[in-house]
Amino acid sequence: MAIISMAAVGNTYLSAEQAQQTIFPGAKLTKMTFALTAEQRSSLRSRTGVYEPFKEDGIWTVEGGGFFVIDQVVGKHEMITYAVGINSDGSVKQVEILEYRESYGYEIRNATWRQQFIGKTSASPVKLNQDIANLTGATLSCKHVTDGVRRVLAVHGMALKGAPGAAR
Amino acid sequence: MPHVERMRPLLGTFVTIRANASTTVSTAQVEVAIKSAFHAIERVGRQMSFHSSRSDVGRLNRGRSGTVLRVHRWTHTVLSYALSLWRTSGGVFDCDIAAHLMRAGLLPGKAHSRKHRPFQLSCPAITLRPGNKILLNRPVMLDLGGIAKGFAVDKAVATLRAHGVAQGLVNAGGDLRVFGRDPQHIWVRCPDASGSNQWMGALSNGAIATSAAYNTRHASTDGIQASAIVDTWRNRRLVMHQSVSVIAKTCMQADALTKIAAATGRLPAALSRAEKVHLFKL
Repeated sequence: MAIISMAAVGNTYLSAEQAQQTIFPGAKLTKMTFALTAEQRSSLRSRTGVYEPFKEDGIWTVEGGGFFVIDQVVGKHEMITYAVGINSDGSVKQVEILEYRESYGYEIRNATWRQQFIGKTSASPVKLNQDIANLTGATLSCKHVTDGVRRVLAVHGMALKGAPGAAR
Repeated sequence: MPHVERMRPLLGTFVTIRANASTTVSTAQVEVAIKSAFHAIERVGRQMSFHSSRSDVGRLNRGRSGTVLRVHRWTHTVLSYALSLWRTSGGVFDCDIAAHLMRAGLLPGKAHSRKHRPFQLSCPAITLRPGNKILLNRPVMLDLGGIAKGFAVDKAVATLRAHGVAQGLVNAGGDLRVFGRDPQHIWVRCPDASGSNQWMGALSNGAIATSAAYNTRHASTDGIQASAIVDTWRNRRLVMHQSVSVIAKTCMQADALTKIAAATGRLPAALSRAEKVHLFKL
């Protein structure tokens, strides 16, 4: 019955550079070298409830004030890479999803539709990567990303605001 | 023609917008159009958010009986359609259910328990007045979660079209609408635990929305999967074992009608005939 079953599908929406230009058009961004202390790490965990370690290599300072942060959250079925633009006053400017992958399978049970697959590999006929946009179902919560953004803001509050290299 | 696709976390879910460039609309112009479309969705979210006390919904929920409040024309449009569906469905579609969802822990805050009101056509909770005004016939606790997402999708589609985009798709967490010449493949998330998606067919110039209980399992009691949809006739949250999808012309219709279909298993007959809406169960 089931014709296609994919281990993971997803889509890449923006590269890091494209996201930078989307959130801070025309601005000059400089990659930051930055490390959280062990104490800051444990404080982050308890404050935000996100357990995956925060990667410090995805932070850029924006000329004229502000930060650009790339982070990743992993849910039960999905892995999401996203970018947060932070204004110089510490508020969120914009959040963009860079990459969204999910581990749901795709099945085709309709016989007439199945005919179209004869002689083709399972991956070729429908562009599944594109088709995740065409998926209806009860609302998928974006809570993981919301929690992730809150963690990025916590990192900003505890370490980035006054960090060397940060534009004031 | 190349297309641009973007995803942002908005309205508590993931919103995807895809728009095709054409001979008259360049990729750069499509990017601008998508940005404006996201802004329209954010605006709907701000006006109709239950969580913000300054939103139209927040203000209405604080109003006393007899108060007249002016709301944004978009909120007026949504409330107008909600009220007409409340009438057609005999009270099955009802936005005055936030107290239920608060008690269930699906919305924050403490709800005062109120007496269950049986449906009375002559006694709606609100009356629409000209000039985007709303008269509260009694205190309300509105949640537009069952209709506003669809409306936001429609606004995003209108924005893309106003920018000259001829073909595209907007999907707010499963409430989606497609426009343009080419039909788009539509997949439905299976309601069972298999975590698979089933191909449904191809849709052009229309909207589809789905309701199912698969995201509210954490809120279940006694292992029963109670959904975020309130059965207003029985005064409790609906238990769903399948998913219902409604295809309609606009996403607001599709979104709102899934709530009626979920509760009654069908669509109001008058609507199915007059408005070309279709129901699918999975």
